[in-house]
Amino acid sequence: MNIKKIMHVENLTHFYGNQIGCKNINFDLYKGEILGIVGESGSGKSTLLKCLSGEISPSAGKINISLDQGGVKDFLSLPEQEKRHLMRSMWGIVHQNPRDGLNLRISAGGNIAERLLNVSEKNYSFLRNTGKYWMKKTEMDPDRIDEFPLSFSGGMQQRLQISKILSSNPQIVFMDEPTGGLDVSVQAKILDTIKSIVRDINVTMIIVTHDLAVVRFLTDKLLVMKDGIIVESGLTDRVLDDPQHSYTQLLTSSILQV
Amino acid sequence: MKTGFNFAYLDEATKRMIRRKILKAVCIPGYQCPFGGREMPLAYGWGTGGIQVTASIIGKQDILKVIDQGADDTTNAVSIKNFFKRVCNIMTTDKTAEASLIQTRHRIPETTLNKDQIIVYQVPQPEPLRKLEPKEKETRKLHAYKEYALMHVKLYEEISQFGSVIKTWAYPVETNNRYITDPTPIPKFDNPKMNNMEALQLFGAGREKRIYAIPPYTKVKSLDFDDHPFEIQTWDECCSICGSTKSYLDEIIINNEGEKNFICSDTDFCKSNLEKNK
Amino acid sequence: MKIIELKNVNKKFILHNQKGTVLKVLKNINLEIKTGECIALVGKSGIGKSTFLKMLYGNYLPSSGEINIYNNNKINIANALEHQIINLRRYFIGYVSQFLRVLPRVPIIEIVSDTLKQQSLFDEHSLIKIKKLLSELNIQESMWNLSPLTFSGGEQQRVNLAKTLIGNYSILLLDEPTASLDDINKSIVIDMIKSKLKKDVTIIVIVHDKKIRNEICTREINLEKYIPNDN
Repeated sequence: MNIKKIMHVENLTHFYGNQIGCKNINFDLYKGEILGIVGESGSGKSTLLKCLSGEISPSAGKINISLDQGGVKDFLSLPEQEKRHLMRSMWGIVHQNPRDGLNLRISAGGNIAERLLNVSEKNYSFLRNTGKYWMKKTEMDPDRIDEFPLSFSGGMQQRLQISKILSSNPQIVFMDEPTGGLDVSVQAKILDTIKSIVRDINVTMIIVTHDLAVVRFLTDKLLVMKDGIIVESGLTDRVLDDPQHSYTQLLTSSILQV
Repeated sequence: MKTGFNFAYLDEATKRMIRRKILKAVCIPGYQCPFGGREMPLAYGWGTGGIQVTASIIGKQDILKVIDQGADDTTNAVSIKNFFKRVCNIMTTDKTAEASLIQTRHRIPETTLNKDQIIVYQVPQPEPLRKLEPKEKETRKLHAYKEYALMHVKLYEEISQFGSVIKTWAYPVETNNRYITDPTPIPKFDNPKMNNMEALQLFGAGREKRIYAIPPYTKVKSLDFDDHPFEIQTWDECCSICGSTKSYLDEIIINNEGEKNFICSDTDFCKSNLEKNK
Repeated sequence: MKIIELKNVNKKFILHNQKGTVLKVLKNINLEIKTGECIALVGKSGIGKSTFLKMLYGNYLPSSGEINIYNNNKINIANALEHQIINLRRYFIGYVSQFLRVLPRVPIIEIVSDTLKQQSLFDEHSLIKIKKLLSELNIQESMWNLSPLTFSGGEQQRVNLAKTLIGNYSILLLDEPTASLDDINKSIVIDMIKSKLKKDVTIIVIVHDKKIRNEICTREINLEKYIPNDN
């Protein structure tokens, strides 16, 4: 059974001046996989995510991507126009704070439409129906399509952000602490929503979080980061149940049982 | 009459610079070219951009017409015409058909322009995306990468909130299938005239220091959706002076009881139409 | 036909944060399991029976050696790529652990349907099959739309079993499948295991009850011979 390799990362390194952001990161990502990147503050996981999603240009290393159309590309040496186009259509970033990923000056429907308009959708009804479809899919009330993001609760804003990203059928979704700022009960519901969507549409995801319960719930495989490097990687349940590295063992033993 | 100024007020070097910019603008329809705008004897917001473009291309044989909201006889139109009379000693006219060079604020004449004419628009804000994206650095990138989703989203928003696009002036257009251009605050009624126009269209923004152009026979399409196509304004009334049903009508309140009259905005057209119908 | 093969498999745990203590569990395992066998893992408590099963599932990592699964090709679980192991778990190897790890808020019927959906076997007849299985395992209809999170140990175990037995796996790894069940449910489960065996499913099971072992198993593997002698 041949699953396509969608991303190949080689020796990815980024410095902030003299400070290591992330160093010598190597991994492969296959289509349909959900990769978790865990670590505590300062581990370099957010830096890594920003390098992968194109928000930062890393100091060194290679990222090869292979999307549905167009063979294998060296992402870091793409001309800016192609990069921007990729970032706006082929993949999406779900930010920890939904207000970073939403345009607060336009309606919910407008936010979802924006992604589609980037790929030149010309039909108003289609935009509207797609908006309502994705709102329903993320368990929002589609009748609220014309309301503005600030009139929604934090959890709803996060769902809206997710709808916005998924509406353009991205091939990779990057999530940065997707449930970070939310109340626990809201977190749980959002995770459920993400999980069921992922089951439905076979999207490839990279999720950065410090919360091991989130990775256990959502991810297939895991990278554990400390001080900018990967200390352990493998199947999520294997890494959490049979941790080999001392840091991973420290992390897993630190979780309080409820 | 010796005025002490160079012909058309600007020195020849400045005219050369502006002409070069105009040439560049003509080569890239709808693209905003920055230029070194000079200080003119009137404040920004009064047509300095248009005046600089006109001054750079006007010649001794030109016949100039200046209109403001369609009228030849408003204070500003008259002032600008007089300015050029003083510094160029050229002929001026009110008749669109007789003019070789037309400077306009916020309207396109009803009479179809021909290939021997040039129309110069006065531009308040050359950047159509400015209200949506305040940063100049970002709007330049958006134009460069043809990323116009923001503008289309604005139209989507208006349709979802109001049932249709409510912008009735300065309605954004796509020029030559490439750049989104601000047509200046002309009523959307005039937008179709810009498409495939025989005359050369030049745009000058003095405060923002930009020049852009639409060469003759260029495709200019007003933005819309497949299922919400662009429409121009219509009136139930006709012009109360000449009886026209085909021109853009101004609504004028004529007494304290609020009674209204509709008359053509284009004064020259109204006069000629009246002559014709007599 | 060979379906599972262990070659020089060793397993030890190094507890870095507890002064680097090394726990050697299993040493030099070399064995083969053939299709259709029902293997009982025996040995005293704590010897590593669950560890053994978990290594077969990819949940634990052998310290050295190969664990080869013979599907259409040979895959060494000890060094396979993650998506390969996930693929095996989806279609080929089912695992019933001693504890039900369940996603909160997901109702039983969805938990069980999910197995079939993952195997792309879910169709209009599936719900009937699922309901039948749940009834056979004495899980009442009133509970089908509830999450098993608040159920008793025995009920959770039966959900766990349903989730795996509904699937079309070629290998089943069962860790104390009948431990928290009463006698009636025990024999129901044993019958289910027997019918799997009839379909040539390979089963490796840990079960303390000797009577049950004798009823279903074709072979015993005693892990005593794999205890590291410097323990």
